[in-house]
Amino acid sequence: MPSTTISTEQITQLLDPEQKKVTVPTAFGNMILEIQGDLDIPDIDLTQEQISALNIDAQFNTYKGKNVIRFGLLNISEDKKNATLYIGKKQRLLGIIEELETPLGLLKFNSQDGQVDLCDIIRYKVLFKERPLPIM
Amino acid sequence: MSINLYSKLKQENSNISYKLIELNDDLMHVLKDKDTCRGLRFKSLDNEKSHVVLCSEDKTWLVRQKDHSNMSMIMHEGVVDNSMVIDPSSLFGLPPPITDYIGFARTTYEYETIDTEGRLHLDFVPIYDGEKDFSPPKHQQGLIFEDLLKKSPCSKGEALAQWHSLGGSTIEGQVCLLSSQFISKALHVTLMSVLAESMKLNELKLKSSYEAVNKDMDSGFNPYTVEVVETVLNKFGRQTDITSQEPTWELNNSAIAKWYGIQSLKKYVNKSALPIDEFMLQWRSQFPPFFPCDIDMTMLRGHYYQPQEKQIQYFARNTLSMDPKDRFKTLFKLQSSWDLRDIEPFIEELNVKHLKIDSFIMKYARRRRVGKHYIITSRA
Repeated sequence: MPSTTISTEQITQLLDPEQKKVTVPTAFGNMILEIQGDLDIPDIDLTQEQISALNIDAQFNTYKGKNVIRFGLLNISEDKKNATLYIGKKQRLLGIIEELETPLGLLKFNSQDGQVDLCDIIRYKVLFKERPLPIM
Repeated sequence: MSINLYSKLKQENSNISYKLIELNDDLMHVLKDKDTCRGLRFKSLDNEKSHVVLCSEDKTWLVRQKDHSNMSMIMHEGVVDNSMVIDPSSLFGLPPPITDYIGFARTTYEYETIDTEGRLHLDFVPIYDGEKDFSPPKHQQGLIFEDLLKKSPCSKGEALAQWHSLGGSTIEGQVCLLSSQFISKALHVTLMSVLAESMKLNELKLKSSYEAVNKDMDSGFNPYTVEVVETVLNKFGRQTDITSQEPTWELNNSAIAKWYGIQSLKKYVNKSALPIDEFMLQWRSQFPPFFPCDIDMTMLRGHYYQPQEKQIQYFARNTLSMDPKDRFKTLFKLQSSWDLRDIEPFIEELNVKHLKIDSFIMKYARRRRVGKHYIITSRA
């Protein structure tokens, strides 16, 4: 029978009652951004030549040596209740910071060694459930 | 606070994937306890068809994929390798971003965790009937309890409770279930032996109980091994001092009385009915001398019906249909009117939506009040 132990080493400090309560993001710097629908951004890795050919290299960067693409600018209000997401120069989404009814555990699966880590507990998400608005 | 948002481009051949799982109150409780948080594990019967469950030391949750129409991006705070100069016209009057967030996984579902009852997987467990040469089929040989636990979508605590309740034992290191007949014999022998030694039924030790059982045995083959006696103590009692080096069991006399009652039903009223008074005498005569217990027909509810007034006959519940209509039809064929309390054990397993039992019954039958009790009759 397939059976896998879940490693909980990483999250023990999160459950310390003296740990300062965090909102968005978690103490480990993770957060969930939820959008109704989908984001139209490339999700396949591109070569430098392909990036140059697309003539959109201003949006590309690297993070720890891996290609990443910049897709927007997020603004969170001072009271940590509202959020605005700007996508490109033409679209803006209004959203909220929502406390989750049931906290979500972030599981990391490694298919090579079969290890499963519970690596974070997320209690809030930045939620955009309205249609995009134009930027005037 | 302004933040630059990035998304990682998909890496081919990546071995890492991320999923979100609901951590309900029970799971949070398990995680907060340093002794239990290391025991969480995913289990499934096979890699493809069966459900996945999440088990702690003593609880089991069914893991179900809950799809939604939104896209969730899981992001991590970081700093991109090359600082980017953002065109002020792209800031829309906001202050320049103070940090970067990089999306490393996208998902359109979460794993829901639903409280469920873990089940032992007993397909590979042979039945032992007290025979001298115990040789189970090849595919059932060599299994130990730890293997059984690994093969079962079940937590350890639930597995042990079910194992004890089913009469799980070991014969020469091999796990097995004791047959109903052999359990009856082993229980009777154990009770006779400990009562003969004037041992207290609420303070039984395994060693002395086994010695009492062994005292009366001939030098030949003795099927009542220490494991069998332990199985009897576990099935009909509970350990009262688990931490002690030599644990003590307290026997549950009413569970023992019920067991004797069900065996008496099978023996005396299996094919024809008997008057209740006569059956009670037969039931009482089954116990070892001086066994202290009260007996009452209410203990046997769900195992008999009354074909005529004040007469009873045994009925095996597991032969009933799983279709509620058919089941009610069969029950009213056996007995035209039932006391609500008598019919309840026969139909409670069908009430999967956990309605109030009389509301559930009223979907398939009529209910009328007679004095303090409810009488259930057929709709037809």
